[in-house]
Amino acid sequence: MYKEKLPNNCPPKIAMENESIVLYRIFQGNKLDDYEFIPYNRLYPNNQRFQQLCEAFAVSFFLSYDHALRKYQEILRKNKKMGSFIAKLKLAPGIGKLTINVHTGHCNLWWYEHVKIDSEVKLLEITPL
Amino acid sequence: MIPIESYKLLFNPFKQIKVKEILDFVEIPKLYVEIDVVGTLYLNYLDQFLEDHLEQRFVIPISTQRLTDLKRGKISVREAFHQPETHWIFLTHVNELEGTITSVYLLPEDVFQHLNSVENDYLVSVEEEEIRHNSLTSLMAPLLATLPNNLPDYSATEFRPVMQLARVLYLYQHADLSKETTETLANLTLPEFLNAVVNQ
Repeated sequence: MYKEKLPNNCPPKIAMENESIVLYRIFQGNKLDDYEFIPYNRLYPNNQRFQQLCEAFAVSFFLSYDHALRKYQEILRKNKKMGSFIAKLKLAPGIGKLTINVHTGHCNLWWYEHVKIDSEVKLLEITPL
Repeated sequence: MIPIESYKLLFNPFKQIKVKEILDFVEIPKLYVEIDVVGTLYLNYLDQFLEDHLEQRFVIPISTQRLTDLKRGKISVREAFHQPETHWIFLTHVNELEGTITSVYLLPEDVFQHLNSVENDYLVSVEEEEIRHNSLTSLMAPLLATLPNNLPDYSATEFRPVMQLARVLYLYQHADLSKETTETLANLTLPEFLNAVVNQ
């Protein structure tokens, strides 16, 4: 059902199937590409510390440009450059399960298996960092 | 720069440690709880990347009670590291690619505090835990959070009852807001209200 083979109890019960939604994500490049949506567990497949933890199988999004920028800047202060752009994206409904943290503006999305990025995610805007 | 080489351990006491629970994982694993083979819990915070894929992390033993207090927001992450339960703090270097610990240092508290970079106002978000205890709110929270971005202008009337319910639930959930703030929020138009809620 999901793109990744998820650990037990993942996604959490509070995750809900997404409606059509506009979200933001930190991008490496300036165009829509599958490579921009790789979760941590696949980015670091040899790092066994997180291979059983649900959050590592999710892709991060943000509710607003400012939320994304704040996180980018926070990680930059820790000497890591996460990307070069912030993308504003429109996600088609029913492409995964979503949790939203309204305090931090952070969303986790666990993709369904069938999802094709180029047809179900639309790039609305891209802003260089 | 505080020289830490003299505090380097010649062995790795965390060989069999496992990540038990994530407390903050947004793009990178910033804060988590680990457990060792005898059941001791450790709070593990990402200080910085020393170079590509090499994390420097602060690690302290933490009691179950203190961890509960942290997760409930009774103490901040800064407080947990500023007033640790032991007077020795571990500093680890972790290879992000392999997940392996390459070096471990054991610092006296006074030395560590010069390196302590945990943000002053850093609280663990307890929202998910709160939501688990309130199933009705759990249904409304994602809707409430995403409405401003996703609600077409023409649907304001159609969605009015849902948004009114969201407004009541929000004010109910945040009963600790000041009277003035509650009144202000209650008197906003729905779009203003939703924007105010998301930006809080």
